[in-house]
Amino acid sequence: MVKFKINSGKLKIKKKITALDKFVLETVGIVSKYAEYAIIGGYVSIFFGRARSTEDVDIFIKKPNFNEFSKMVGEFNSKGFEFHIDDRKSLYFDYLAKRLPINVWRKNFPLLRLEIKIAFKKSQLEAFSNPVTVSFDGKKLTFAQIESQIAYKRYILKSEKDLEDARHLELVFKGISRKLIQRYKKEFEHELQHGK
Amino acid sequence: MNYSMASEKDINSAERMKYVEKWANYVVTHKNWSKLQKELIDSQLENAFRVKLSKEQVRKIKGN
Repeated sequence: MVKFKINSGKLKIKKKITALDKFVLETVGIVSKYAEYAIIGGYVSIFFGRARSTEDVDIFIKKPNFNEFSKMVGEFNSKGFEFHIDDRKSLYFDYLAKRLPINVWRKNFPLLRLEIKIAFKKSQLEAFSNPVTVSFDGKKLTFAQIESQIAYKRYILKSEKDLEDARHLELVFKGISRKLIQRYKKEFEHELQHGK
Repeated sequence: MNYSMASEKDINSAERMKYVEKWANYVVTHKNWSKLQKELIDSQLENAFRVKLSKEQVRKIKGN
């Protein structure tokens, strides 16, 4: 039995790259030039083997300044992607700055999207202080801490799909900390209650 | 939702969870898990790509 084992925030795995992985590598590859990012949500479970796909890949970023953001949008556009709004200022000031997510997709395939969210809550910013960097086939992706994803899916989102995602992660990883899951649970619930 | 419908939902959820656990066990015990996963995901995306939805249609479906 070979479970995924994270050592000091790093993990190397062997996997076949799916069309979904290619989309993530391409889009996140652009984002990473302009902002620190961490992958969250369903794609975390899918990347580590869950037998399902998704149409939305979620990431947190640290808020870039407008100049960097504008360059990032420019690079996306030049590589055949589009956002839900064309105007860069509106994307930045009406969405990102107001903590609303922005979506980007390949022009000919709007069904598959990267959803970019600014991390502003304490629990969200922790994705950057405890990231998991995964190397595979000469490529790298950065994920939020696995325990945070289990806690969020199991105790906050709680849909059937989310409970299944959480269970999958719990089973395929070695050394998952129950204590850490409980700490994240408390933190998420506290933030939810107090609207932080 | 009446009692029998609720029970049926619980049974389905439990069955689905059993499958999830069985598959997770497969992932940690078989090297070909990612080959099988790739076949599944790539075919799903290929089918979705064939539908050729416009961004307006996607917006309607997703409600945003």
